[in-house]
Amino acid sequence: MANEETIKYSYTDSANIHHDAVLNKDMFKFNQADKTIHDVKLNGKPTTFARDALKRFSKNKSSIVATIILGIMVVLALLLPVCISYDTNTVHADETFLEPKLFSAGTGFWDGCKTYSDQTYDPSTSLPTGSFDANAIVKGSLTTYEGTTNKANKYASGGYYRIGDSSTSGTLTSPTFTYDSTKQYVLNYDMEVALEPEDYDDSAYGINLTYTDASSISQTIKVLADSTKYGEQTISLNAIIDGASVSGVSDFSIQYFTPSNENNLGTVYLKKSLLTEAGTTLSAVSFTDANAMVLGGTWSGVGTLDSLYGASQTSCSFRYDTYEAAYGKKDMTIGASILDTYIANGYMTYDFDVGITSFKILSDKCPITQVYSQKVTSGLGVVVKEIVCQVQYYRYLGYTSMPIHLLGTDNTGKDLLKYLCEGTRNSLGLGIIIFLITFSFGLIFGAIEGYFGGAVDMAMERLVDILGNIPWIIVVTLCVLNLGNSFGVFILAMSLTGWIGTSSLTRTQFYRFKRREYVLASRSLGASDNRLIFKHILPNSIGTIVTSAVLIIPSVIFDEAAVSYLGLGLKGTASLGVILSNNQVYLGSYNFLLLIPSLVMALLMISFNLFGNGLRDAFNPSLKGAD
Amino acid sequence: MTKYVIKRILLAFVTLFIILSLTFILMKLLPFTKPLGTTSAQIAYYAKQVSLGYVLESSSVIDGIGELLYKYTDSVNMVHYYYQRPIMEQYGNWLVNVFTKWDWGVSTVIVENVDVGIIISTKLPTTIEVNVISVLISVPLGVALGVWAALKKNKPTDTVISTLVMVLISVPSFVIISFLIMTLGYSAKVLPTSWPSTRAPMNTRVLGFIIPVVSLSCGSICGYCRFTRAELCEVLDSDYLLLARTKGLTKRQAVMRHALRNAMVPILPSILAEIVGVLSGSMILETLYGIPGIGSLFYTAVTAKDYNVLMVDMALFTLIGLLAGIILDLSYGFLDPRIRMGEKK
Repeated sequence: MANEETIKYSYTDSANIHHDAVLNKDMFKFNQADKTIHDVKLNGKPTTFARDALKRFSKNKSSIVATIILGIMVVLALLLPVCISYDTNTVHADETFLEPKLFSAGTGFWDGCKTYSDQTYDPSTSLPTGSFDANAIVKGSLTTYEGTTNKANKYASGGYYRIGDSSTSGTLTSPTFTYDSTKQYVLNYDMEVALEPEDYDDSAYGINLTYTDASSISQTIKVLADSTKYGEQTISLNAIIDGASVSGVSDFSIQYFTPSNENNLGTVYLKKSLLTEAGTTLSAVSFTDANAMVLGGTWSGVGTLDSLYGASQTSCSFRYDTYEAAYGKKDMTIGASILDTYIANGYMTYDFDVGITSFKILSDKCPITQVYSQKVTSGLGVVVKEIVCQVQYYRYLGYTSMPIHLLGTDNTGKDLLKYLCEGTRNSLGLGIIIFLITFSFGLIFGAIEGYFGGAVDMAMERLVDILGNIPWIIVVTLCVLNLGNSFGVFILAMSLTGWIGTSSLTRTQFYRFKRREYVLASRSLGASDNRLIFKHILPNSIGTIVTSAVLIIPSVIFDEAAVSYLGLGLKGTASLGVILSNNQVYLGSYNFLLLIPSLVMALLMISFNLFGNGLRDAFNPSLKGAD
Repeated sequence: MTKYVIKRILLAFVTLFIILSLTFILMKLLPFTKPLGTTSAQIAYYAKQVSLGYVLESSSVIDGIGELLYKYTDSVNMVHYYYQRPIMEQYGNWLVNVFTKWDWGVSTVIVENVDVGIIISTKLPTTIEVNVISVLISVPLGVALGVWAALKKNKPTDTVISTLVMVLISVPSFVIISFLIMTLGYSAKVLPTSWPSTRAPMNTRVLGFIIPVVSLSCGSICGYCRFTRAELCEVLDSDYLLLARTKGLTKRQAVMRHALRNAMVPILPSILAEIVGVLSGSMILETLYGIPGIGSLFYTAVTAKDYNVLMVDMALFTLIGLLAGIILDLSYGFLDPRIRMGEKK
């Protein structure tokens, strides 16, 4: 038929002109009428779930950076303890608190120098007082200025005497004086309160007059009790003493005190105390310079040299090369037995019969640089031979050159870098071991719960309910108290409840996948439970489970540190927590000891969390961005 | 619902009972800490232990009953021997004491012969004070930051907030507090380096709150911010919000009336749970800053081996944890009627 072969199509265009289009069958042709069509091999490469995840992971920049940092830290933690030769197992009393050093002393940054300020300056030697080694003070760094001190010393003057402090009541008693009732006695003193911002401004003080009466009993006359009058005060004593009708005694003394009343105890400061007899100052029982009074020692109280406050002195600040002080040249006395080992090693020669002229250095390993004198003493039939000499101390300690501790040393002289690496290694090890234990146990437990369901699930879930509600700190505390704080106990304690997270997640995942069609299909084909669990359900859910379980590692490191702070940390093994909690007391005095481990801890945590987030985004793209 | 609530509360009590029983038995397995102090205080302590049924008093030596803890000769020359009872017997007596007399024992070292309950109650106010301030700061700030980040999603503001949150949430709180004490306390000298005593001047005491509150809040601010951002981002992408906008609501109206309300459903329960948590305090922060709260009491009790105090402190921590868990779960149901807790399938 014609209409089968020709299709007529007509339309009107926008300009209202009519068009006809005729389409014939001939105009159409089968494109592949004589060809058989086969499946075409895919051009793209097939990808697995893991490879796909890796691809997604590698696109996440922050996670990559975190992974690299983490990798570097792990490598360093494993390598450095082997590479650094410093000993971290014993105490090195001579090498404590060395500052971090990378550059040579005097550079001003990371140079092993510590800045001291407000030290008392001794003008006669142009050096600070105290046990500072003059050689170790960095040249040109010493500056002097007018400052104050709270420790009585002969270069200071003025200041206040602290009577009592915030925890104990105190007294200050003057030397004795003779009371003559015909003369006028006036006490002029200056009491201050709350000179420091932390002081309590409601503190009170009292003044007593004490004397020993005719029958040798100590008597007290109250001049002031619980007074809060501060500033310069003047009191006439005659009326008070006469009123007490004292007779036959002469040895009076003035006593300032803070009341031991619980609510009225604090620090009050006495600036001066002047007793005048008929207008003449009795200098023996007066002071205007608290520093001199404390040093003089004629006034008695509970205070020590530290009872002084705010005396003026010439202070100095300087940079102190801790390495020079610890390892530099020192004068010391060395016995014959040590000398014999040096001589035997061929470092030097020395003969006690000849004397100091026989000293000759043979090798540059010789610790002794100069001999001052020799001492040969005999007693009880034993002859003791010693020499007084100058020693290059690092050689004396057995080093061939001046040691450099990149991150300094701690209170026991351990190299912080090595110790920190050991600690990080142990903390990571603890985390990984606990991760492996809790992950495998949680996975099996959760799989059984989730796969079998029903009564099995009910029973096991009750166990999880109870265990999961015990705070981990209580489990750890009880374990450590009962079993001691070793590495094994920690693993046990943290694993006891640590698996619950993994098991709950596995259970949920199994509930999610076990009713899926592919599982049903496999089951209908007669697959065993084993096969269903391990070949079908687990591979589908493992990504989610692993990614969340990996975060067990940082949380174990964190928990271990927390436990260490509570005094229950590992004993005898370095770990980040142990290092942090040990160094906590040096906060304010040796900040680097706490700052560096804290930074390592923070960096480790941040990297782990970013790494974990990256893993989660990679394995579970639907959760991307949902932090 | 009621049935579920009752079930949850009962389960919590069963859990608490089991945990406390285990704790009691494990504590009693530890070497007995003998009380320090004067003879009369020691005698008073043992007399109390006898009345509580943990220690057996005898006038003669008994073999094979338990460890001899203490003996003394009184004014009429009679010798008193005190023996430890078997642990399970002590456990039975402990249950009786707790359930009938609410008697948890007395402290051995921290404050001798003082009821443990009294020690806890003197420590609690400080902990609550610090924690309440921290919650008051962290909840609004955290939620506000989270909302801000969500509204500016994938813009520089969001990136900055998210990065900061990521970093701060990873840094342990004890690192933060050490750092704050180091910089603001020791170096800048503007804040006290440890908790000021109650008799310090008012301004010092106020300043004393800053470091612990900041370090406590830091983690929770970040937590709330992250949580709020995630929830709000999800809601902002939802169809009903698109509908709200197509209806002609302004963005502000849509966010305030629709998005925030729905996003708050999972956030509010965690806030409620945290409010219960103010009772527990942070052990490490309190210890490091010397705050006399129940967190540092735990530390003191562990180091002093004062097991009665430790026991009650642990009981309190567990109870608070359980309560917070229940409130968290139940409030979901109350806030969003679509969630039926404990409902069968």
